Amino acid sequence: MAHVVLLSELDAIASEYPVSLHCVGLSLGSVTLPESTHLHRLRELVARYSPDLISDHLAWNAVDGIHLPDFLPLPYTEEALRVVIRNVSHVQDVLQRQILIENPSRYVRLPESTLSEAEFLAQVVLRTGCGVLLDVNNLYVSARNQEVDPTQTLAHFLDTVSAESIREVHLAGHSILDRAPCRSMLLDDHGSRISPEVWALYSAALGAVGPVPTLIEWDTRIPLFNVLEEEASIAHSLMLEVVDADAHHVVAA
Amino acid sequence: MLSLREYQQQMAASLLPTLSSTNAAAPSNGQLSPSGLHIHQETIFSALTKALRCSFPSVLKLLGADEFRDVAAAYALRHPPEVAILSTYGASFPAYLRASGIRDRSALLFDVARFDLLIEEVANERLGLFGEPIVLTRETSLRLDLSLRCQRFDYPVDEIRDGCAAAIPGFLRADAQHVGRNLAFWRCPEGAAVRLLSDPAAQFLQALISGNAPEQAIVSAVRERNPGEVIRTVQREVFSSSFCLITSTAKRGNTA
Repeated sequence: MAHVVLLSELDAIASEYPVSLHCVGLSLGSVTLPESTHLHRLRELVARYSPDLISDHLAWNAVDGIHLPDFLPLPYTEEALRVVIRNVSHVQDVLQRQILIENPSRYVRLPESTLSEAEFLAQVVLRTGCGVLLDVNNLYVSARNQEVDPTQTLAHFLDTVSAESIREVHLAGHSILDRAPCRSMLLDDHGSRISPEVWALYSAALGAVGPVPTLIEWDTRIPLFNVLEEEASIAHSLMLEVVDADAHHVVAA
Repeated sequence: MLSLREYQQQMAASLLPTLSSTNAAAPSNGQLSPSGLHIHQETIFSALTKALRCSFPSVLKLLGADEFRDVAAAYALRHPPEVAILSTYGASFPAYLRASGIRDRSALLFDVARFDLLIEEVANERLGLFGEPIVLTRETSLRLDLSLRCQRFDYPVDEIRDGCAAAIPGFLRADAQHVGRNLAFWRCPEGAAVRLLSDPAAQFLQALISGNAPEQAIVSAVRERNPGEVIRTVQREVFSSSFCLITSTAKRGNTA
């Protein structure tokens, strides 16, 4: 019954700090609308905590009444765009709030795609008024798994998606798989320090976007707290290097 | 080119082959890399078995981590979640265990899994919500906590769970014999509260939960027992419990 304890702890945290609600089950890319019960429970949570930010992923995990707990890839097509726009609008209507959409880690290529991820997200932002959660590690993992240059991918992302729509950033560690059939693929497993390459991308993103709340995701192989603090302090330093502003936006989780 | 629905159906079937009567081709006419699909498949099964581990801690302890993982993965393959919230996943897991015939202990595992599931379900209920008043007498009524459940078990499942949680040596001796018991579950601030009930108290409570009037509930509890003793038992075990709110409708006298 850990969730019972967590709820009371979250009450205490929310009374002292701004909260960002990060969702995993809205399935914004499903051909059907987000599950009504789930959405209304989320609405209750939003009413209880009045979070500053609410987010979910540019992915799908439900079809024909079956839910698969993962962020499954969407083909970036006009049809998928219409579906995501409809679903994001629906969620925002029910919550009466803007939500942010996060770029997921991608492990498969979908050759049907006619838009890049950044072009797809930019269209969703334009037509729904939603914001973007830029996960720098996801961008890096996806680029490497699809054998494209992560730096160019980020540059394209920042050229295509408006800077003001990017309202939150995620960082995390990833691992390199060494067993068949996934040998040499990168896995976004939130279980290690952030790689130097991802730090470099983060620094570049901050230069374009400015100071935005940043979350370090570390939920497997959880380290001693001081290790997490060290990672947070690196993010803090990079933010201070890039902007001459109040940079108290870094949290670690 | 596949429609989005067709693509999602085919990908789901390639990740969970039991969804399709035939071996599903990967979407995009097989252009997806098997390695990518393998990663998604591992993530999904890892999440589902973890959800079952959290909801069925006593079953996990009884089976051991390796056997539990195998059983849970086999279950997940045949019974994927139908809702997004994984804390409610596994409603049919007890029945699956009973049908599985695992190590000739499927009856015990079924009972223990039912107990684990009820604890989880009740802990997910809302706290402190009571139902409509049930009139007992002209001056007294009771209201039952809406999270309240009452079930009979063939094994001492509460003791087994306590033993599992505390890793008490030899706690499994309890399962060597059938020691049936009635248990009431309801939501409390810490999660789920459990209370042992005698047969008449359980029969009375079960009848009330099923919507019967108190008079009928008492009849179903008395059977061939002493009515006075049954009423005293009900008062002691049901009316005094925190899942039961007794209210008096009697007018107060003028104390001035």
